[in-house]
Amino acid sequence: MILLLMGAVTHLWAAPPGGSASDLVRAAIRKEGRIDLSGTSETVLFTPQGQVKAQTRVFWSSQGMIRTEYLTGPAAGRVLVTRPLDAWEYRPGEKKVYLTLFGAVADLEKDWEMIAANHAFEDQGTERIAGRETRIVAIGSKHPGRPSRKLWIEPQKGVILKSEFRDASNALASATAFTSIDFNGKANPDLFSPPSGIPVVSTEGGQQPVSVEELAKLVGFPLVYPRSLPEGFRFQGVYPYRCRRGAYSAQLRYTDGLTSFSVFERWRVCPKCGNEVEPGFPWRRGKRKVAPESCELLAGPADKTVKVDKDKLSFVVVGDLAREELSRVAEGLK
Amino acid sequence: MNCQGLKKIVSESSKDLFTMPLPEELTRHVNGCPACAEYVRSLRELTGFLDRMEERSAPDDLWAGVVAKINEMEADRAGAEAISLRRKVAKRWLPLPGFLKPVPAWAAAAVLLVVVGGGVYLGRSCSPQPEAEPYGYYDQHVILSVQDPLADRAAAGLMISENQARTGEKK
Repeated sequence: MILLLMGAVTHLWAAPPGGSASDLVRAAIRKEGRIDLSGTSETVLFTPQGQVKAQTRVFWSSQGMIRTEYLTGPAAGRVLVTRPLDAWEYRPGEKKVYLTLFGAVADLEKDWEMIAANHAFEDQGTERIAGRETRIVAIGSKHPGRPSRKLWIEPQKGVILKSEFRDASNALASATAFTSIDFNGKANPDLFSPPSGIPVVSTEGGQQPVSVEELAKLVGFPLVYPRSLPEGFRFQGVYPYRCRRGAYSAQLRYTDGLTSFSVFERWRVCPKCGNEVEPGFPWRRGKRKVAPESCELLAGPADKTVKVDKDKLSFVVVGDLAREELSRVAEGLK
Repeated sequence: MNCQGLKKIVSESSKDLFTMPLPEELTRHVNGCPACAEYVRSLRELTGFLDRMEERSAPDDLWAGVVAKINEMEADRAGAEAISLRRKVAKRWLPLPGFLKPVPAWAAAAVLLVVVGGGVYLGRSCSPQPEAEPYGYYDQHVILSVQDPLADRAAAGLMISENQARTGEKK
C-alpha cells in the first residue's frame, strides 16, 4: 500500500505541466482564439524562391476571434481576422475587405476525434519562447508522406507560442513564433469587425453557405466526388466560389483533422470568359477572350495544384498533400 | 450663282444635300470656283464621317443647349448686325479660312457629336481594367484553412499575399 502511494506521488511529481502531449495539444486547440491576449510575432515562409518574412501584431478575443496585422514584408498593411463563422482580409492597396464564410462553427470535439485518430503526438522537451517556458510537441500523421508540425505550447495558458509546419516531403514550409505576448487586458471588439466605410467583397458572390443540392444548381451541374480519398480523410463541406467575372465553381473540402485539400469543379468552357466587351469605338470592339490556361484562378504553387479535365467539366485539386496523392484524387473524380 | 449664294444654300440645306449629286446650278459654280469646291469637299467628308458613326444617345441636356444655340443664331441671322456678330464669334471660336464661314448649323452639331463621341471613347478606353482575382483556387483553399485547428493563420495570410505577388509578376 505504501509502495503504491509512493508510486502515485512520484508519478504526480513527474507529470509534466499540461498533462500528456496529446492532452496539451487538445487544450491548445480549445484555447485557440478563446482567451484574451495580444502580442507580436514573426512568420517565415520557406518557398522555392527563398524565405518570405513578416512581423505581425496579434490580438485574440475570448469570443473566438483572432486578428493578425502584418507590419512588415510583402503583406505589410494587410489585416487578417478569423471569427467563428468567417474570415475577413483587409488589403490596403485595394482599400477593400474580402470576406470568406466558413458555413458552420467548428465542432472541436468532433475535430479532436479525427485528429487523434490520424495523428501521433510526441514530447520533445522544453524551450523558452517570448520569455515563457513551453513544451515542444511534435505531431506526425499516422499515414506516411503527410505534412507534420511541431508546436511550442505554454502549458499554464494552453497557448501555442511557436509552430513549425513541414510539408509532405518533410521540408520546413513555415514557422511562426511570438516575440512578445501579453495576457492582460482585452482587445477593443471593434478590431475584429471590418473597418467602416470600406467595401466588403465576398468570394461566395453573396451566397450564404449552401447545401450540395443548392450548390449544384448554382454551378449548373451535379457535383462530382472523388472515387476514393486519401487514408484518414473525410468530407468536410461544400462552398460556392464566384470569380470576378461572375462564374461559379463548387469547392468540396476534405480534411483529416489538421490537413485539408479542396476539389474545385467548374465548366471546362467558362460561361463568363469571352463575354466581356472590349472598350473602344463600336467597330473596334470585340469580346475579350480569356484562354482557359491563363485563367487567374489556377495561379498557385505547382506542387500543390493539380488540374484535370473530364468531358465538359474541369477539376482543380489543391492542398498540402503530396502531389502524387493530389493526382490520385484528381484522377479518381468520377 | 456666286460664292455667297452657294454658301447660303448650303447653310440652309440638310446634310442630304451631300449624299446625292449636287443640283446642276451648284455644280456649275463649284466646277469653276476652287474655294467653293474645297468647301463642298470638306462638308462631304464630314458628312461621310458622320454616316459611319454609330448613333449614340447624348446627355439629356446636350441637345437642349444645342437647339438653344441654333435658335439664337437663327434669330441673330435675321439682322445684318447678327451676321457681324457671328463672324466675330466664329473668329473667336475657330480661326478657319474664310471659305468655311459661316459654319452650317448641322455641321456645328456634328462637331459637338465628334467631341462627345471622342470623350465617350476615351472614357471607355481609359477606364480601369477589371481588377485582379481576389482569391484564385489556391488562395481560396488557404483562406478556408484558417478555420482548421492549429492552423498557422499568420502564415496563411502571408501565403496568399506571396502567391498574389508571384501571379502579378507573371502577368
